[in-house]
Amino acid sequence: MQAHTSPIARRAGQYGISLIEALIALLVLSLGMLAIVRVQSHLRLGAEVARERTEAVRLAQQALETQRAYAAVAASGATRSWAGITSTTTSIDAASGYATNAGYTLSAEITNAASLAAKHASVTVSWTDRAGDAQRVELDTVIAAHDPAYGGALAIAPAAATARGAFARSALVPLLAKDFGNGTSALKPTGAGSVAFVFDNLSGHVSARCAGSGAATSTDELTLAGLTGCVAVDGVLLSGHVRFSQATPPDAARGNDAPPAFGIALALSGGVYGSAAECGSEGVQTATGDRYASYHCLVIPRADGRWSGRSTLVPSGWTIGTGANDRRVCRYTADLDRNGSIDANDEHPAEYRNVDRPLANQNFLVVKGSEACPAAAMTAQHQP
Amino acid sequence: MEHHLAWHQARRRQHGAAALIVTMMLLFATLLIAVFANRSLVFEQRASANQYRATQAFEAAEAGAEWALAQLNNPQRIGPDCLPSGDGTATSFRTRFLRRDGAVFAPATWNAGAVANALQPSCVRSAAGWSCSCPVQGAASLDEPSGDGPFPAFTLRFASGDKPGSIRVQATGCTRLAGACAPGSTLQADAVAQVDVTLALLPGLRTPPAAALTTRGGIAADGAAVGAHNSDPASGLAVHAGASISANQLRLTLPAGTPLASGVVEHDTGLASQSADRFFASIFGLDKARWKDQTSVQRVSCASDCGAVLAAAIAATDGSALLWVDGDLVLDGPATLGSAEHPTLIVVAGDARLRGAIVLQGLLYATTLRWDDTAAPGAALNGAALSEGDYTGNASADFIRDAGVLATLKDHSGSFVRVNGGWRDF
Repeated sequence: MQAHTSPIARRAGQYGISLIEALIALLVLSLGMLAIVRVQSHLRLGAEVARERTEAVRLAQQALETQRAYAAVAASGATRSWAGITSTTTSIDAASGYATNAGYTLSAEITNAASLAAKHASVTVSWTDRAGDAQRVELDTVIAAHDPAYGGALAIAPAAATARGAFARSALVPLLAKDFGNGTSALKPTGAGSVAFVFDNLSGHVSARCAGSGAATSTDELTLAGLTGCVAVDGVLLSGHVRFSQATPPDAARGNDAPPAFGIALALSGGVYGSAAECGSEGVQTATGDRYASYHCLVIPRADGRWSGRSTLVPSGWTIGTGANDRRVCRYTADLDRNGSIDANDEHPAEYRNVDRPLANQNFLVVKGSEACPAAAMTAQHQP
Repeated sequence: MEHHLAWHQARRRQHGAAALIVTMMLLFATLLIAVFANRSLVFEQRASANQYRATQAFEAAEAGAEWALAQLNNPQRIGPDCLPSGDGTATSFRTRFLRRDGAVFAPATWNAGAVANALQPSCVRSAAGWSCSCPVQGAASLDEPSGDGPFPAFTLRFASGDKPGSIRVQATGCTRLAGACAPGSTLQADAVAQVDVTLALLPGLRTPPAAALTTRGGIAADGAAVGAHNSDPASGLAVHAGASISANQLRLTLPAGTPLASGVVEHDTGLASQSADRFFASIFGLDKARWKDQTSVQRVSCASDCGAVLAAAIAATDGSALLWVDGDLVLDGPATLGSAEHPTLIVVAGDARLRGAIVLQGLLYATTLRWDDTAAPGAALNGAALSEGDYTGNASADFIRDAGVLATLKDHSGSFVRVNGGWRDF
């Protein structure tokens, strides 16, 4: 009996317990669902704040970049200027014409850096989220006073790499060259010859060599139309003066003898050249009685734009040597950069190395063969 | 029997637990589905916070680049806190962090044992503003500010540019003074950004004049033993005037062997036909207003003798002083201004009137130039003198064109400016 009734009794009890169990399960489930809904709403609020923060960061960065994009340093009318960067507070919301997620307050706090041409900028964007909590983002930076025009000035190449010379030409164009007024000048290395060199006034380089300029025409009388047989070249000039002094001891400061006939030879070395150097010289007597000869050599450099070589005097009707009846050739040379040796091409070395620009004032002094080159006057023996 | 009961009891327990477990599983599944469905919201929050930090670090890096530009053009001597210092032995920002090698700028270094480290200035934002450290030796020393609020920081690295006269500034910005912004720190910053800017030197003197004394007008110095010297074969001019030169006692020095007549050029129409502003721009590469507005140029004005004011301005910087004198310049000798290593460039808005034994290493530019006092041995201007108008006076002053002084002004003085297109923020 016991065994017979108890299953029924138990089954009845079981039914009741199932109901309670179901109720508990329902309670747990509904509590759990409530929690999930709360999490959901928190997530939504968090996502909304995140969206607003992203927007606020963008607004703050936009404010900073706008301030950075000034066109002038000093205040000047409507132009945005560095001087015009000041502390401001603005509202950014639908009323001010922005469609935004919230109403923002943007405040830029600008302070001048202590004795520095820069401003410290701190932009804060603050707003109130849906839950009523205050939110803010802050960006800090520095804005220097830097006129954009200076960057532009940098892009303009200077008129000449070297010093500006006389007559609005490069200092490397010989003073005697005739200016044609079209950006070029011309010079005849030998007055009685027919060859003329045409220079570019800006760079001082030789831009053309004209074979037919008329032997009777001097440099001063050259005209653009009168130049014929011109071939465009890209050459540089080597020029200088040759002085003669037969006195004992030689007068280096004022070697003033009448120049005898001579030529200049320039032996190029250190590579392949398209053509040999072409030199010419001419005796000059100034109004003050100064007598000397000036020489000019045209060099067409190697493919790398440089040339190396040694220039020598070629006597005509006299001899170079160390005897009393010979003559000795000295070169005026000075340690211009004070580095202890004659190594720069400007300093008139015995042999030029990798010259990349026109060389001027490479002067010689010719003395009696039995006399030494006057070292006190910064000369060194060149030939023999 | 025993077995029977146990079976029943087990079944009852099973019944209750199953409902609860199923409920829990259902709940868990719902939670998973909810989180999975809202994962974009979670990511959005993370992305937003990351973007905020990245922007902070980026703006700090930008601050570094701008601060470097301002400091490089600040001629004043600075202390270890990067603020102007009255200490006469302190260096300016430019000499402290850039080494000069000819026309090339290289970063300055300090030695830790046998290892050469680049000197790096750093700054951190605090409630009171940016506070900085410009070390002479060793790493930057800064304390992380306390309090709440973002405290971004930056540090700078310099490198030689692609061309002589240019440098690259690498600014690293962080959300806090840690990580890459504080070398040696064990802490990590939340975000790091880098900005790379190329700066080039806009020289204070763009194209040096060819002559020792250049006047757009004439020279009237009859009776004065004025000396003009230029032994540089590449320029070869001693006196260069737009109008006539009358100086019957002129002493000339030219490259040895060069005829003296070729060192004096007068009535140069190319010079005289230029406007005054054009003349200025052909030498300095900028118009007057822009040249004087450079922050590397110190502006001075003085009612009477300017010697003390100029000396103070030259002493305030450790490099070549670029000076703009508002109004006229009156200078009484004896006075020595500038040195061969740090020549001085003086531009006078008005007339310059020098008297006596003044020795100036550098370049003097004025509307008109007058140098008086016959009994003033040693009066010399080593560099170049330029006059928009005439040169007059009876002083037996020597004008010496010094190619080295002019090269120093051309290669080392002036302002660093941004090279157009030379910045990179990625």
